[in-house]
Amino acid sequence: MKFKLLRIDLTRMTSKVDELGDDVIRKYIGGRGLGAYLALKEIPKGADPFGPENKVYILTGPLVGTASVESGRYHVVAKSPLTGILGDANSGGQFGPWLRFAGYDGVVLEGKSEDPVWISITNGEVKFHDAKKMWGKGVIHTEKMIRDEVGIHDESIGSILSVGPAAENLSRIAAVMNDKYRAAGRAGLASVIASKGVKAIWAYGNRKPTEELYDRKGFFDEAKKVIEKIKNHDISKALHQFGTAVLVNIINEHGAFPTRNWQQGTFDKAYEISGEKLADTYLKARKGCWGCVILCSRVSEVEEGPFITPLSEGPEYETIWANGGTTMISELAALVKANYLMNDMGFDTISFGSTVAALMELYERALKGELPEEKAKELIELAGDVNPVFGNPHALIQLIWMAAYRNRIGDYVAEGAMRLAEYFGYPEAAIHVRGMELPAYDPRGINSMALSYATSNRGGCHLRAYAVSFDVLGVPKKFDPLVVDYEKVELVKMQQDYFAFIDSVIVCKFNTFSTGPEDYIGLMKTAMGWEDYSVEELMTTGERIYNVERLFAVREGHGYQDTLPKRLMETPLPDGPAKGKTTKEAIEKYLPEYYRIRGWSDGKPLPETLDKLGLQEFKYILS
Amino acid sequence: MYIKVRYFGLVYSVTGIYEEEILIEDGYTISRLIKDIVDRFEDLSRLLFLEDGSLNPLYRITVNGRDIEHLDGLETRLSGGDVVALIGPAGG
Repeated sequence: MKFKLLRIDLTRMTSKVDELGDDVIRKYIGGRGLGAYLALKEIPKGADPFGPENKVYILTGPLVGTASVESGRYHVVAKSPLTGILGDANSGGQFGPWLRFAGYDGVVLEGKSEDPVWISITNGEVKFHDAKKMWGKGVIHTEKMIRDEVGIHDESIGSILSVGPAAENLSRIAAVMNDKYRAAGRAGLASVIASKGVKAIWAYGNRKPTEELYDRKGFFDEAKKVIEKIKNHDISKALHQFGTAVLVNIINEHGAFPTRNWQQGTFDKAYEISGEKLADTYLKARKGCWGCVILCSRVSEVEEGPFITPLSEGPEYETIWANGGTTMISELAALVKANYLMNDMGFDTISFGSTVAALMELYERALKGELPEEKAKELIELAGDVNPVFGNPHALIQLIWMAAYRNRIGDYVAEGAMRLAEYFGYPEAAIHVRGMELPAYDPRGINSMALSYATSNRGGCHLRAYAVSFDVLGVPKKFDPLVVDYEKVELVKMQQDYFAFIDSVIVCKFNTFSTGPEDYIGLMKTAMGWEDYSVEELMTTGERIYNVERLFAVREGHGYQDTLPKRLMETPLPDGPAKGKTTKEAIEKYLPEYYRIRGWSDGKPLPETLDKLGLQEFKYILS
Repeated sequence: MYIKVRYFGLVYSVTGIYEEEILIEDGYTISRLIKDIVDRFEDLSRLLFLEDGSLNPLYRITVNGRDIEHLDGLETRLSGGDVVALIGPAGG
């Protein structure tokens, strides 16, 4: 199976197709892995994330759109304006499969258009369309305009990837959106797309990826086995029933629910914003991505009151936490509305809520006289009547608009927490790794997450290694989240490598609760014709991808130092079962062992590690 | 003396209540609590226990936020004011 890569030159308004063979695909698979490899080869060191020299890789993988193995996904890779190193983000919905059906396994956006365009990809044909009328419009309106133009209003046919006003105004926390409510949210990559003048991509066609499989019948036999495992697993059933928001109560109970901008580990109103509460109030339906058997997505509606919100997808656990727990906003209806608006404006809901929480802390400190006098005065003036105090849902909602259009204090929120906090003279208020805001698990209460966060290549992220699974949920086995245990280091590395494969092939990470690497061997053999494919090769591929991502940071000369924010390292949690805990001990003990098993030194791969992984072409970066 | 018991996720689907207070006596254990709760909510039995009678490892029980696996397991003794959570499977 050849990987059909469509390269679109926005400067010249031309396109061409590269066909990648096994020499590249067997080493990097697709999605995140292929994106990392191509980015390291093609994006020059020191590139301006918003410059024409940056490239955006929108990639599927060989399993995308093939069968119900939760393969309705795609991955976006580019140099991130938020972190200044390699950024990547993953999304579900319908776009990944439809891109393949349209004729291509991936798209690369290169150069820069002078005027806004949207691109249609229909049965292999690429057309550029004027997007001036769409510029400034929200994601939902944009999708409607495109469907009006192509004349297909059935939302199960064809798919649209787009960016919102947040990206147009180059917010560093803007999310790539598709199918209205799905987001490749992290690392601000939507603004890179917008910087190239691209508002949207329409994908539609009749290509059948299953007809390109090496052994179609064998593949479906293998897929059926995997589907059964996923469908019958208790975690899949729980995700269907309550969605990811079921974690609100659980993580809060464990004292690892970051509250008041990471100044507490528990929120006394957690139940009010929980998945259970959502199911009892605003939940109207459950929905899945293309070919999904789990259906974890929520479809919610607030029918009346100040936070009235039309029927729309979400909110997820991370969104509820970032905009609820850490901001101490306990009105669930407000979070449903905020989620809807963030999707429409095209914001990463994790980074946005986290930045608002940082703003709330800064504002509180400004009022108490704990910021430099001039900065405090400026902040209070810029905030005006927004009143960004903990627990204020109206401030959260107002800030979505203000940040999307860079109005007053919104101009600073659009930059993300790190830049906001640095500007106002109190960097400690930004809880981030490599410039990207951390997600919804306090590593002081779940110590494996300390290592997972610190070594996450793309910055603050729970999806490089989801150590919550073994520290809290007991999958594959239970560890004590408060006790340092070196076995966890091996598990974190294993997950990082395995997940790199999962993001490359591409299937949903929720598969990993019920399936292991061994479940994908048969699929890869029958899809690709790699008769000798093995678990060892799969894991080595994941490790290779993880090292390529790290090399991007090493080449940039920053972003490879593995540590955590000062607050998490030095300030003990004041409450809950993890009271008194910091991450200092975990980081100091875990990191040397992690580097030993990775074959790294001080965050950099050793030359012999690159030899082992077949990465000799990148050894120049270490010299 | 009273303890608080919370029900999360699929456990909540069966109990229909998020939190309740239960009167306990000295020496009351998690094992006893589970028995008492299953007596009231019979459908919990098929969720919490595997066919061999052992606890389904995807269902977790905490006392004051600490998983009973890191305490004394089912023999963990409860005291007045303790908060117990019966937690269904989850992912995110």
